[in-house]
Amino acid sequence: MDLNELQTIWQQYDTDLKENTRINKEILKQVLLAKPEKRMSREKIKAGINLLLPIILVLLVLIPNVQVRATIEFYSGALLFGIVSSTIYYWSVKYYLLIGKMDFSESLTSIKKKVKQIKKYKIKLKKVSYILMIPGIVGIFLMGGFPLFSTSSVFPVTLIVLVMLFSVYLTFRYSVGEHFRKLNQEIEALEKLEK
Amino acid sequence: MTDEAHKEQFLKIMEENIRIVQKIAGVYTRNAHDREDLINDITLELWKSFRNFRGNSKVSTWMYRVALNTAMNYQRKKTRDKVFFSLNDLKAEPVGWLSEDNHSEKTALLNRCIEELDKLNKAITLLYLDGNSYEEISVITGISKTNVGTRMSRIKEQLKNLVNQKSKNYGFK
Repeated sequence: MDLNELQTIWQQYDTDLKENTRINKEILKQVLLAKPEKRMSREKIKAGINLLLPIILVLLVLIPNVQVRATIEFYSGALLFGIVSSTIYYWSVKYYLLIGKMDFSESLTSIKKKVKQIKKYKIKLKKVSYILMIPGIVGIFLMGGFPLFSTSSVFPVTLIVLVMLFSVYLTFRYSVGEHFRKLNQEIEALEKLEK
Repeated sequence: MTDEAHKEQFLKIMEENIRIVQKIAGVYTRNAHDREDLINDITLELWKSFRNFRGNSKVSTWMYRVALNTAMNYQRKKTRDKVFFSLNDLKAEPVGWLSEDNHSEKTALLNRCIEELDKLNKAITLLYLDGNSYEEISVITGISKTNVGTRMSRIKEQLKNLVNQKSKNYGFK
């Protein structure tokens, strides 16, 4: 073996190192991708449960317990409740489908764009749900024949309003923001790797 | 330059030239543990020296100089300092030199021969095999060009004998 051959061996060693570094970078990318993928899967499962739960509640709770009355009050309540729940359900289905389109094998720019879209949509969905919840609850009261503006209904209505306000505060102050902040951090780590 | 931009620039340079550090660590250590350790030390020294690097020389020249100085002064430590983590920390399955000695037999033979050289001759050999001219080797090591030439002739002879001796043991022609 002469020195020229040694130089060839050294060059091959250099090439092998380059290839190993590339492979290790790829492995690191897969490791970094695992967390955001898991996070999105959990979000999809939650969105799926939010689609099934209303159907289960309507079938098991609402229908068996509602007494149909041929009154304007009942029909107004049913219409109000129907419109509200269909609207919220429609938005929830769209949200579920949007999450389903998330694909972490795409480019980082595309992933970031989709995450931004999903976050925006989730905030809209929450706002719509909270706003429509009031007419929805009014609809249920009308359907059930419960008095809305009487001394007996003050306490439950106040309680419902307080719980709603607290829920709105928690959702928009912490929950949605925190969830997407962590996701964005994980995507930033991927971006740094690709730079 | 802001601290963040400074850090980004350093990381970019490291990523583009990491093989210099890997090869030097490979030549000056005998196992993966020490190799990782030395790479951590070299990276730290490069980061410390980066503040004063004004671009008067090539980036590779600066890196060779710092890395070789660190390698020549390297002593095995009992506890490891961590400048950056290895893929082993992520519980992933890394490939290649960080996890095990994954070189071909011929590369192993070459490394065994270079190991027999003294620290300075190791540096000169590594720089020569990397395709640096005598002038560049002289700038990096700080010894005169004539001295580099003389040493190189002796190293070539020494390596030739070592390679022939060891290749008989490995069964190469």
